[in-house]
Amino acid sequence: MFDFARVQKELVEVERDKNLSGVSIQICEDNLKHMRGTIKGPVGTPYEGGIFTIEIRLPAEYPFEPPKMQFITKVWHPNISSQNGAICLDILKDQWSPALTLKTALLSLQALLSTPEPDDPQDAVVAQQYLRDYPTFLGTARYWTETFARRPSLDIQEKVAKLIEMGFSEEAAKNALQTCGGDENAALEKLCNV
Amino acid sequence: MDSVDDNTNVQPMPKLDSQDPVKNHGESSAGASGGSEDGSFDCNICLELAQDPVVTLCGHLFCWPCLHRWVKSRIGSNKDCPVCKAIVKEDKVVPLYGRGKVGSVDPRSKAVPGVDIPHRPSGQRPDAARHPEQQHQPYGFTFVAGSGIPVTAARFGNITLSAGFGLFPSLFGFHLHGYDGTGTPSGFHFRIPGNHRPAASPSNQYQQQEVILSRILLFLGCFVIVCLIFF
Ligand SMILES: [Zn+2]
Ligand SMILES: [Zn+2]
Repeated sequence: MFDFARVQKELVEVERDKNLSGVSIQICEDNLKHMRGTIKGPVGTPYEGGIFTIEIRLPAEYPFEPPKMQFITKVWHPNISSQNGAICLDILKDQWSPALTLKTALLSLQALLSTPEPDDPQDAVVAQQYLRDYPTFLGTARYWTETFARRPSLDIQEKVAKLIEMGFSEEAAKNALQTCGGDENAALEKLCNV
Repeated sequence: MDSVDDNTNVQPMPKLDSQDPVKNHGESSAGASGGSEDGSFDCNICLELAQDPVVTLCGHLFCWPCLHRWVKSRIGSNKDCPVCKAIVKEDKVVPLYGRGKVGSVDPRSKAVPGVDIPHRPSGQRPDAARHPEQQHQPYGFTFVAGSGIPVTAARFGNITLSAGFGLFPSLFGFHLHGYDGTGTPSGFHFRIPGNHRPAASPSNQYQQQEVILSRILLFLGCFVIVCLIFF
Protein backbone atom coordinates (compact mmCIF):
# COMPACT_ATOMS: atom_id res chain seq x y z
CA MET A 1 0.00 0.00 0.00
CA PHE A 2 1.52 3.25 -1.16
CA ASP A 3 0.99 6.21 1.15
CA PHE A 4 -0.18 8.60 -1.51
CA ALA A 5 -1.32 11.22 1.00
CA ARG A 6 1.99 11.39 2.76
CA VAL A 7 3.94 11.94 -0.44
CA GLN A 8 1.53 14.68 -1.44
CA LYS A 9 2.00 16.30 1.91
CA GLU A 10 5.75 16.12 1.58
CA LEU A 11 5.63 17.75 -1.83
CA VAL A 12 3.51 20.59 -0.50
CA GLU A 13 6.11 21.21 2.18
CA VAL A 14 9.03 21.08 -0.23
CA GLU A 15 7.24 23.51 -2.50
CA ARG A 16 6.48 25.82 0.42
CA ASP A 17 10.06 26.39 1.49
CA LYS A 18 12.06 25.59 -1.60
CA ASN A 19 13.55 29.06 -1.66
CA LEU A 20 14.84 28.63 1.86
CA SER A 21 16.02 25.05 1.61
CA GLY A 22 17.29 25.18 -1.95
CA VAL A 23 15.68 21.78 -2.46
CA SER A 24 13.00 21.23 -5.05
CA ILE A 25 11.15 18.25 -6.45
CA GLN A 26 9.40 17.80 -9.78
CA ILE A 27 6.99 15.01 -10.45
CA CYS A 28 7.73 12.78 -13.43
CA GLU A 29 4.77 10.44 -13.25
CA ASP A 30 1.28 11.10 -12.04
CA ASN A 31 1.38 8.25 -9.57
CA LEU A 32 4.04 10.09 -7.55
CA LYS A 33 6.37 7.14 -7.66
CA HIS A 34 8.88 8.77 -9.94
CA MET A 35 10.25 12.24 -9.35
CA ARG A 36 13.28 14.38 -9.77
CA GLY A 37 14.84 16.38 -7.02
CA THR A 38 17.39 19.14 -7.28
CA ILE A 39 19.91 20.38 -4.74
CA LYS A 40 22.45 23.15 -4.85
CA GLY A 41 26.14 22.43 -4.54
CA PRO A 42 27.21 23.56 -1.07
CA VAL A 43 29.16 26.80 -0.83
CA GLY A 44 32.86 26.32 -0.16
CA THR A 45 33.03 22.93 -1.88
CA PRO A 46 34.10 22.04 -5.42
CA TYR A 47 30.38 21.57 -6.08
CA GLU A 48 29.55 25.21 -5.41
CA GLY A 49 27.57 26.83 -8.16
CA GLY A 50 26.24 23.54 -9.47
CA ILE A 51 22.68 22.35 -9.53
CA PHE A 52 22.44 18.61 -9.10
CA THR A 53 19.49 16.58 -10.25
CA ILE A 54 18.61 13.37 -8.46
CA GLU A 55 16.24 10.73 -9.70
CA ILE A 56 13.82 9.59 -7.02
CA ARG A 57 11.81 6.38 -7.19
CA LEU A 58 9.48 5.46 -4.39
CA PRO A 59 8.95 1.81 -3.51
CA ALA A 60 5.41 0.65 -2.81
CA GLU A 61 6.28 0.39 0.87
CA TYR A 62 7.42 3.99 1.17
CA PRO A 63 7.84 5.49 3.81
CA PHE A 64 8.58 2.19 5.51
CA GLU A 65 11.20 1.55 2.88
CA PRO A 66 13.74 4.18 1.79
CA PRO A 67 13.30 6.04 -1.46
CA LYS A 68 15.66 5.02 -4.23
CA MET A 69 17.86 7.94 -5.20
CA GLN A 70 20.50 8.29 -7.85
CA PHE A 71 22.34 11.30 -9.23
CA ILE A 72 21.38 12.11 -12.81
CA THR A 73 23.90 14.93 -12.93
CA LYS A 74 27.41 13.56 -13.16
CA VAL A 75 29.38 14.16 -9.96
CA TRP A 76 32.98 13.55 -8.95
CA HIS A 77 32.62 12.40 -5.36
CA PRO A 78 33.96 9.40 -3.39
CA ASN A 79 30.49 8.30 -2.32
CA ILE A 80 28.75 8.77 -5.65
CA SER A 81 29.42 6.60 -8.64
CA SER A 82 31.04 8.61 -11.41
CA GLN A 83 29.60 6.05 -13.82
CA ASN A 84 25.92 5.85 -12.93
CA GLY A 85 25.29 8.24 -10.06
CA ALA A 86 24.60 5.51 -7.51
CA ILE A 87 24.84 6.84 -3.96
CA CYS A 88 26.42 5.29 -0.90
CA LEU A 89 24.60 6.82 2.04
CA ASP A 90 23.39 4.97 5.11
CA ILE A 91 20.05 6.72 5.43
CA LEU A 92 19.14 5.53 1.96
CA LYS A 93 19.84 2.00 3.14
CA ASP A 94 19.65 0.45 6.59
CA GLN A 95 19.55 3.75 8.47
CA TRP A 96 16.38 4.93 6.78
CA SER A 97 13.52 5.88 9.06
CA PRO A 98 9.94 6.73 8.13
CA ALA A 99 10.33 9.97 10.06
CA LEU A 100 12.69 11.12 7.32
CA THR A 101 11.25 12.70 4.21
CA LEU A 102 12.29 13.26 0.63
CA LYS A 103 13.36 16.73 1.64
CA THR A 104 15.54 15.57 4.53
CA ALA A 105 16.99 12.85 2.32
CA LEU A 106 17.89 15.42 -0.34
CA LEU A 107 19.38 17.68 2.31
CA SER A 108 21.44 14.70 3.48
CA LEU A 109 22.75 14.34 -0.05
CA GLN A 110 23.69 17.99 0.04
CA ALA A 111 25.53 17.36 3.31
CA LEU A 112 27.24 14.38 1.72
CA LEU A 113 28.61 16.69 -0.96
CA SER A 114 30.17 18.80 1.81
CA THR A 115 31.56 15.89 3.79
CA PRO A 116 32.75 13.03 1.65
CA GLU A 117 33.53 9.77 3.40
CA PRO A 118 36.33 8.22 1.34
CA ASP A 119 36.67 5.35 3.80
CA ASP A 120 33.28 4.02 2.77
CA PRO A 121 33.42 4.71 -0.95
CA GLN A 122 30.98 4.11 -3.72
CA ASP A 123 33.52 5.00 -6.38
CA ALA A 124 36.88 3.50 -5.55
CA VAL A 125 38.77 5.52 -8.16
CA VAL A 126 37.49 8.82 -6.84
CA ALA A 127 38.11 7.74 -3.27
CA GLN A 128 41.71 6.81 -4.07
CA GLN A 129 42.28 10.18 -5.67
CA TYR A 130 40.66 11.95 -2.75
CA LEU A 131 42.97 10.22 -0.29
CA ARG A 132 46.20 10.32 -2.29
CA ASP A 133 46.01 13.49 -4.31
CA TYR A 134 43.51 15.86 -2.83
CA PRO A 135 44.37 18.90 -5.02
CA THR A 136 43.75 16.87 -8.17
CA PHE A 137 40.53 15.59 -6.69
CA LEU A 138 39.40 19.17 -6.08
CA GLY A 139 40.30 20.14 -9.61
CA THR A 140 38.42 17.24 -11.15
CA ALA A 141 35.37 17.73 -8.95
CA ARG A 142 35.29 21.42 -9.82
CA TYR A 143 35.68 20.68 -13.51
CA TRP A 144 32.82 18.19 -13.40
CA THR A 145 30.65 20.71 -11.62
CA GLU A 146 31.39 23.34 -14.25
CA THR A 147 30.82 20.91 -17.07
CA PHE A 148 27.77 18.98 -15.91
CA ALA A 149 26.06 20.87 -13.11
CA ARG A 150 26.02 24.50 -14.13
CA ARG A 151 22.57 25.90 -13.80
CA PRO A 152 21.13 25.86 -17.28
CA SER A 153 20.94 29.55 -18.03
CA LEU A 154 17.58 31.03 -18.77
CA ASP A 155 15.90 29.72 -21.82
CA ILE A 156 16.69 31.80 -24.91
CA GLN A 157 12.99 32.52 -25.35
CA GLU A 158 12.76 33.93 -21.85
CA LYS A 159 15.75 36.14 -22.44
CA VAL A 160 14.24 37.49 -25.62
CA ALA A 161 10.98 38.14 -23.82
CA LYS A 162 12.86 39.96 -21.08
CA LEU A 163 14.60 42.23 -23.56
CA ILE A 164 11.34 42.91 -25.39
CA GLU A 165 9.85 43.88 -22.07
CA MET A 166 12.63 46.43 -21.70
CA GLY A 167 11.53 48.04 -24.92
CA PHE A 168 13.68 46.48 -27.60
CA SER A 169 12.34 44.90 -30.73
CA GLU A 170 12.24 41.16 -30.95
CA GLU A 171 14.62 41.06 -33.86
CA ALA A 172 17.16 43.32 -32.20
CA ALA A 173 16.98 41.30 -29.01
CA LYS A 174 17.51 38.04 -30.84
CA ASN A 175 20.43 39.40 -32.80
CA ALA A 176 22.09 40.88 -29.75
CA LEU A 177 21.74 37.63 -27.84
CA GLN A 178 23.14 35.66 -30.72
CA THR A 179 26.19 37.83 -31.11
CA CYS A 180 26.82 37.67 -27.38
CA GLY A 181 26.54 33.90 -27.23
CA GLY A 182 23.37 34.02 -25.17
CA ASP A 183 24.74 36.26 -22.42
CA GLU A 184 21.78 38.45 -21.58
CA ASN A 185 23.78 41.12 -19.76
CA ALA A 186 26.22 41.52 -22.60
CA ALA A 187 23.29 41.62 -25.04
CA LEU A 188 21.60 44.33 -23.02
CA GLU A 189 24.80 46.36 -22.96
CA LYS A 190 25.15 45.97 -26.68
CA LEU A 191 21.55 47.03 -27.27
CA CYS A 192 21.96 50.09 -25.10
CA ASN A 193 25.16 51.14 -26.84
CA VAL A 194 23.67 50.97 -30.31
CA MET B 1 -1.72 0.17 -5.00
CA ASP B 2 -2.91 1.49 -8.25
CA SER B 3 -6.49 1.64 -7.21
CA VAL B 4 -5.34 5.01 -6.03
CA ASP B 5 -4.84 6.25 -9.52
CA ASP B 6 -8.30 5.95 -10.89
CA ASN B 7 -10.21 7.94 -8.33
CA THR B 8 -7.75 10.75 -8.09
CA ASN B 9 -6.60 13.32 -10.49
CA VAL B 10 -3.15 14.23 -9.40
CA GLN B 11 -2.14 17.79 -9.80
CA PRO B 12 1.40 18.34 -10.98
CA MET B 13 1.92 20.15 -7.72
CA PRO B 14 -0.47 19.41 -4.92
CA LYS B 15 -2.34 22.44 -3.77
CA LEU B 16 -1.93 23.71 -0.27
CA ASP B 17 -4.67 22.45 1.98
CA SER B 18 -6.26 20.59 -0.85
CA GLN B 19 -8.67 18.05 0.40
CA ASP B 20 -6.98 14.73 0.41
CA PRO B 21 -8.90 12.67 -2.10
CA VAL B 22 -7.71 9.34 -0.80
CA LYS B 23 -8.42 9.33 2.86
CA ASN B 24 -11.36 11.62 3.33
CA HIS B 25 -14.35 10.43 1.46
CA GLY B 26 -16.48 13.50 1.57
CA GLU B 27 -16.96 14.09 5.24
CA SER B 28 -13.91 15.62 6.73
CA SER B 29 -13.69 16.99 10.17
CA ALA B 30 -11.80 20.20 10.59
CA GLY B 31 -8.13 19.62 10.37
CA ALA B 32 -8.44 16.05 9.24
CA SER B 33 -7.05 16.84 5.85
CA GLY B 34 -4.17 18.94 6.95
CA GLY B 35 -3.42 17.42 10.33
CA SER B 36 -3.26 19.68 13.31
CA GLU B 37 -2.58 23.37 12.84
CA ASP B 38 1.18 23.35 13.34
CA GLY B 39 1.79 19.65 13.11
CA SER B 40 2.40 19.23 16.85
CA PHE B 41 0.00 16.32 16.95
CA ASP B 42 0.86 14.81 13.63
CA CYS B 43 2.07 11.26 13.43
CA ASN B 44 5.78 11.13 12.68
CA ILE B 45 5.23 8.49 10.04
CA CYS B 46 2.16 9.38 7.98
CA LEU B 47 2.44 13.10 8.84
CA GLU B 48 -1.32 13.27 9.48
CA LEU B 49 -3.08 14.04 12.72
CA ALA B 50 -2.33 10.91 14.72
CA GLN B 51 -5.05 8.30 14.65
CA ASP B 52 -5.20 5.91 17.64
CA PRO B 53 -2.34 8.00 18.99
CA VAL B 54 0.42 6.37 20.99
CA VAL B 55 3.51 7.89 22.51
CA THR B 56 6.78 6.05 22.91
CA LEU B 57 8.78 6.29 26.13
CA CYS B 58 11.08 8.69 24.30
CA GLY B 59 8.04 10.90 23.79
CA HIS B 60 7.44 10.61 20.08
CA LEU B 61 3.92 10.55 18.75
CA PHE B 62 2.60 8.06 16.20
CA CYS B 63 -0.58 6.50 14.97
CA TRP B 64 -0.72 3.06 16.47
CA PRO B 65 -1.15 1.42 13.04
CA CYS B 66 1.83 3.34 11.67
CA LEU B 67 4.11 2.48 14.59
CA HIS B 68 3.03 -1.12 14.58
CA ARG B 69 3.75 -1.41 10.90
CA TRP B 70 7.20 0.09 11.37
CA VAL B 71 8.10 -2.17 14.28
CA LYS B 72 6.83 -5.17 12.34
CA SER B 73 8.91 -4.24 9.35
CA ARG B 74 12.04 -4.26 11.48
CA ILE B 75 12.42 -7.99 11.86
CA GLY B 76 16.06 -8.77 12.36
CA SER B 77 17.08 -5.20 12.98
CA ASN B 78 16.65 -2.82 15.86
CA LYS B 79 13.12 -1.87 16.67
CA ASP B 80 13.92 1.76 17.13
CA CYS B 81 12.03 5.01 17.30
CA PRO B 82 11.83 6.46 13.78
CA VAL B 83 12.61 9.89 15.17
CA CYS B 84 15.35 9.38 17.76
CA LYS B 85 16.38 5.73 17.37
CA ALA B 86 15.60 4.87 20.98
CA ILE B 87 14.52 1.27 21.46
CA VAL B 88 10.76 0.92 21.12
CA LYS B 89 8.81 -1.86 22.77
CA GLU B 90 5.24 -2.18 21.67
CA ASP B 91 4.01 -3.07 25.14
CA LYS B 92 5.71 0.01 26.55
CA VAL B 93 4.03 2.60 24.38
CA VAL B 94 1.50 4.87 26.05
CA PRO B 95 -1.86 5.32 24.35
CA LEU B 96 -3.37 8.78 24.40
CA TYR B 97 -7.04 8.96 25.24
CA GLY B 98 -8.48 12.30 24.31
CA ARG B 99 -12.02 13.43 24.76
CA GLY B 100 -13.03 12.41 21.28
CA LYS B 101 -15.48 9.66 20.59
CA VAL B 102 -14.16 6.26 21.50
CA GLY B 103 -15.02 3.22 19.48
CA SER B 104 -16.50 5.03 16.52
CA VAL B 105 -14.86 4.16 13.26
CA ASP B 106 -12.36 6.76 12.27
CA PRO B 107 -13.00 7.82 8.69
CA ARG B 108 -9.28 7.79 8.16
CA SER B 109 -8.98 4.21 9.32
CA LYS B 110 -6.29 2.54 7.38
CA ALA B 111 -7.43 -0.89 6.52
CA VAL B 112 -4.30 -2.54 5.30
CA PRO B 113 -5.17 -5.69 3.41
CA GLY B 114 -3.08 -8.57 4.59
CA VAL B 115 -1.75 -6.71 7.59
CA ASP B 116 -3.48 -7.46 10.83
CA ILE B 117 -3.11 -4.56 13.20
CA PRO B 118 -3.70 -5.61 16.80
CA HIS B 119 -5.51 -3.43 19.27
CA ARG B 120 -3.66 -0.49 20.59
CA PRO B 121 -1.98 -1.35 23.92
CA SER B 122 -3.99 -0.08 26.85
CA GLY B 123 -2.68 2.39 29.37
CA GLN B 124 -0.67 1.18 32.35
CA ARG B 125 -2.54 2.71 35.21
CA PRO B 126 -0.74 3.15 38.51
CA ASP B 127 -2.81 2.81 41.73
CA ALA B 128 -4.98 5.72 42.62
CA ALA B 129 -3.40 8.08 45.11
CA ARG B 130 -4.49 7.22 48.68
CA HIS B 131 -6.05 9.63 51.13
CA PRO B 132 -3.41 10.94 53.56
CA GLU B 133 -5.22 9.49 56.61
CA GLN B 134 -5.16 6.03 55.14
CA GLN B 135 -1.43 6.12 54.89
CA HIS B 136 -1.08 6.23 58.67
CA GLN B 137 -3.40 3.32 59.19
CA PRO B 138 -0.76 0.72 60.14
CA TYR B 139 0.87 3.04 62.65
CA GLY B 140 -2.42 4.43 63.83
CA PHE B 141 -3.44 0.97 64.88
CA THR B 142 -0.34 0.56 66.98
CA PHE B 143 -0.14 3.93 68.59
CA VAL B 144 -3.56 5.42 68.54
CA ALA B 145 -6.33 2.98 67.82
CA GLY B 146 -4.83 0.43 70.18
CA SER B 147 -5.71 2.84 73.03
CA GLY B 148 -2.01 3.30 73.68
CA ILE B 149 -1.84 1.10 76.70
CA PRO B 150 -1.02 -2.37 75.45
CA VAL B 151 1.80 -1.14 73.28
CA THR B 152 3.24 1.20 75.82
CA ALA B 153 3.00 -1.53 78.37
CA ALA B 154 4.98 -3.75 76.13
CA ARG B 155 7.50 -1.02 75.76
CA PHE B 156 7.55 -0.64 79.45
CA GLY B 157 8.40 -4.33 79.62
CA ASN B 158 11.26 -3.66 77.31
CA ILE B 159 12.61 -0.86 79.32
CA THR B 160 12.19 -2.68 82.54
CA LEU B 161 14.15 -5.62 81.32
CA SER B 162 16.86 -3.60 79.79
CA ALA B 163 17.13 -1.40 82.83
CA GLY B 164 17.50 -4.34 85.14
CA PHE B 165 14.06 -4.27 86.76
CA GLY B 166 13.34 -7.75 85.56
CA LEU B 167 12.48 -9.19 88.98
CA PHE B 168 9.65 -11.06 87.39
CA PRO B 169 10.92 -11.53 83.91
CA SER B 170 8.37 -14.18 83.08
CA LEU B 171 5.55 -11.87 84.06
CA PHE B 172 6.88 -9.06 81.96
CA GLY B 173 7.66 -11.45 79.18
CA PHE B 174 4.07 -12.59 79.21
CA HIS B 175 2.85 -9.05 78.95
CA LEU B 176 5.25 -8.44 76.18
CA HIS B 177 4.14 -11.31 74.03
CA GLY B 178 0.55 -10.94 74.93
CA TYR B 179 0.19 -7.35 73.97
CA ASP B 180 2.87 -6.67 71.48
CA GLY B 181 0.70 -6.13 68.47
CA THR B 182 3.53 -4.96 66.30
CA GLY B 183 4.81 -8.43 65.61
CA THR B 184 8.28 -8.08 67.07
CA PRO B 185 9.51 -11.62 67.66
CA SER B 186 10.81 -10.84 71.08
CA GLY B 187 10.67 -8.04 73.52
CA PHE B 188 14.25 -8.39 74.63
CA HIS B 189 15.59 -5.38 72.84
CA PHE B 190 18.05 -3.30 74.76
CA ARG B 191 17.19 -0.03 73.27
CA ILE B 192 16.12 3.40 74.28
CA PRO B 193 12.50 4.26 73.69
CA GLY B 194 11.95 6.63 70.84
CA ASN B 195 14.47 5.40 68.36
CA HIS B 196 14.07 1.71 68.89
CA ARG B 197 11.56 1.04 66.19
CA PRO B 198 12.31 1.95 62.61
CA ALA B 199 8.68 1.44 61.77
CA ALA B 200 7.65 4.33 63.96
CA SER B 201 6.01 6.87 61.76
CA PRO B 202 8.81 9.23 60.86
CA SER B 203 6.45 11.64 59.24
CA ASN B 204 4.62 12.46 62.42
CA GLN B 205 7.04 13.76 65.01
CA TYR B 206 4.34 15.22 67.18
CA GLN B 207 2.67 11.87 67.53
CA GLN B 208 5.98 10.25 68.29
CA GLN B 209 6.82 12.72 71.03
CA GLU B 210 3.45 12.12 72.61
CA VAL B 211 4.06 8.42 72.65
CA ILE B 212 7.47 8.80 74.24
CA LEU B 213 6.07 11.09 76.90
CA SER B 214 3.29 8.67 77.79
CA ARG B 215 5.82 5.85 77.98
CA ILE B 216 8.01 7.77 80.39
CA LEU B 217 5.01 8.59 82.55
CA LEU B 218 3.90 4.98 82.56
CA PHE B 219 7.41 3.85 83.31
CA LEU B 220 7.59 6.18 86.31
CA GLY B 221 4.14 5.11 87.46
CA CYS B 222 4.98 1.46 87.32
CA PHE B 223 8.32 2.08 88.98
CA VAL B 224 6.49 3.67 91.86
CA ILE B 225 4.12 0.68 92.05
CA VAL B 226 7.01 -1.77 92.03
CA CYS B 227 8.71 0.20 94.80
CA LEU B 228 5.53 0.21 96.85
CA ILE B 229 5.18 -3.54 96.50
CA PHE B 230 8.70 -4.48 97.37
CA PHE B 231 9.71 -1.87 99.88
ZN1 LIG C 1 0.44 7.80 11.27
ZN1 LIG D 1 11.89 8.76 19.94
